[in-house]
Amino acid sequence: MSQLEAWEKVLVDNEDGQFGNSTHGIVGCMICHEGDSSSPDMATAHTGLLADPSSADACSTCHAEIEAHDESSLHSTLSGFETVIESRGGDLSEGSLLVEAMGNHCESCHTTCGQCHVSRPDSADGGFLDGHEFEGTPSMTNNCTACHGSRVGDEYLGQNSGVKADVHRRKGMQCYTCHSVELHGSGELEADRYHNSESISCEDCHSDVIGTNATNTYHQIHYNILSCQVCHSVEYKNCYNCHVEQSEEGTCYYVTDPSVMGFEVGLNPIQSVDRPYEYVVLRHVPVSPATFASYGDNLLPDFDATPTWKYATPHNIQLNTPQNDGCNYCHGQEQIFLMPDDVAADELEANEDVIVRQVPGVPSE
Amino acid sequence: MEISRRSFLKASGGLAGLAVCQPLVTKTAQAATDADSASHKAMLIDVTKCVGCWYCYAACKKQNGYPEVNRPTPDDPPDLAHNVWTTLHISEKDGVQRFRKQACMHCTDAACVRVCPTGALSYNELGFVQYDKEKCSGCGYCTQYCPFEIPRLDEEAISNDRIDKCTFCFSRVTAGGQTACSAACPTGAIKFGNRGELLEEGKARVTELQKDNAKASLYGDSDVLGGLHVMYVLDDAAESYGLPADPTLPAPAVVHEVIQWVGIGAFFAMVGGFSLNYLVARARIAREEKK
Repeated sequence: MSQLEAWEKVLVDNEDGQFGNSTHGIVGCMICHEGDSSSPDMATAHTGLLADPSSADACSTCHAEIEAHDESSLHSTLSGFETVIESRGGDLSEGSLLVEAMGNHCESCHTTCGQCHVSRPDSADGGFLDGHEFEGTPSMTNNCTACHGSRVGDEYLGQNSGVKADVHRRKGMQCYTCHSVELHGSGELEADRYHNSESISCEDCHSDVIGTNATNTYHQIHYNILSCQVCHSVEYKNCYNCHVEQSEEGTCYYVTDPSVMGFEVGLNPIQSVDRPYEYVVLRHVPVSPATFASYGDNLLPDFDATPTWKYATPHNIQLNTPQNDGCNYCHGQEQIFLMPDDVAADELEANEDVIVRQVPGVPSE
Repeated sequence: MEISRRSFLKASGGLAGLAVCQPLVTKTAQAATDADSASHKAMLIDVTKCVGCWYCYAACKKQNGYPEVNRPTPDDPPDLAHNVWTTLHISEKDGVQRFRKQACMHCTDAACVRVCPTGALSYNELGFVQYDKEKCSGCGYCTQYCPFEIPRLDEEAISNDRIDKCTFCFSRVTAGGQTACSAACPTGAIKFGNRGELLEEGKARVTELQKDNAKASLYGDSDVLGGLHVMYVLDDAAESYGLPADPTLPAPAVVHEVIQWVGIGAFFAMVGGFSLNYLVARARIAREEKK
């Protein structure tokens, strides 16, 4: 994602100069942005101005259904962060230190309608993409991977050294080809992205090759035992040790250790009817017991209650992978499983439920 | 050419009489024009499609040179005023807010045109009620007699208190364009077009709505003041949307014409009186001169 020129970021009219005649532009600025356009004085004109009207419900007048839905989406609620912090015993009651930390560090990930449909997201420094024109479908690289870039984006676009782009990408698919309705939420408040009734699964498209009736023997044998990614994804980034900090001037930032490429199969931490798999791909997430240390001591008192190696769906799907070349490339191969030796000593307890103690043996002929 | 005093009086009396009759003749003739005339333009407003975005209100302000506006809150909708020519009438049913765009209905038989003494309000050949602010004397008759309470006086400008109301975007429409509000409407709730076609479209839409809702109706066909040039597709009783169920011309608007004829009669009686007076006086002067 290249940097936008300053003028590109702010000019309302695109090259066609048509915003003023478009559906959203035809009635002027104030109907959405408020302020006072009749005043030539900047301070007066900007009194009450809403830079991002979508953060103040301006879209709901016309797009009521979508906005009502979106209010419960992860993009809007950030409930995924809350779920994981609370699962580690974090106190998110009003006025707590963690609420302050979330406000400083996590809120910038919260997105509004406009940050996907008009400009780049604030967390990627914003800026118009095509003047003030509204885009019904956000741009993959300017919007989606502007936030979901370092892991999903790099995987999908093939930007991790030595790893090909996802097969779906090579077929020309964009994020929204798979992820559409779910991005505005399911209408229910979701705990995390794996609990969205609208979300897509591989079977939605590949039902003909998945299941006990599949012609592919491997698919028959491993149906519902392995998640698709166990056989069809390859090395991905794992992140460690995120610390949030605040400079003396008040600038909020985070620091992480360099990411590490790897591929680990472990036990499914969120086994359910929808995700019955015994083995899944696990990714190390950047959390550490000291993540919020700059705000106070022991703010995640129950750190070990949730694994640091988490259920993952790497976006680098390939037809052929090193582990699906034959039975012996997976069975008995300790190096592709998350074994106790792969886990840091102080995280062994947290990952108790996902660590593989006994690697599936080589099947007898 | 030398004009005798006698011929001047004859000519000027005749001209004055014609001048008095002229506006009345024109008004009556145009009011009788068929509202379904192929040339007539109209707007069809489908309240079931209105989401209350206020774009029509903002577009109207912009079109007519008023300062830009913030989006009003539904709890405090602006009333029509000399500088608010279109607004939303908001009603509530079963806890849900319903919106109706409210502005001049451009009646075929318009009370405002009937009572306007200066000809500021008149019928356009495209069917709508046009307004010439230069001719307005600010008498306010139209504000009193409009059955929809549309025209509003600028009461703050005491020295220049003229009325204002929707002009049907005179300059845009006469140039072949559509009204600003219909152009801005993002949901298609406001449609601009030929009245005959919109009437058919409105009837078809009502038939569709009536499958689920017996209360659905079309408001503004020829049964309402000769036919409105702003018609509504309603999904509930007209009164519940703040519209009179059976708007009629207020009595004074009808009597106005009678009074106007009485005035014309009085004018001719006066001219006749002066003529008689002149003849009698001339005869007496002649008699006295003979003496």
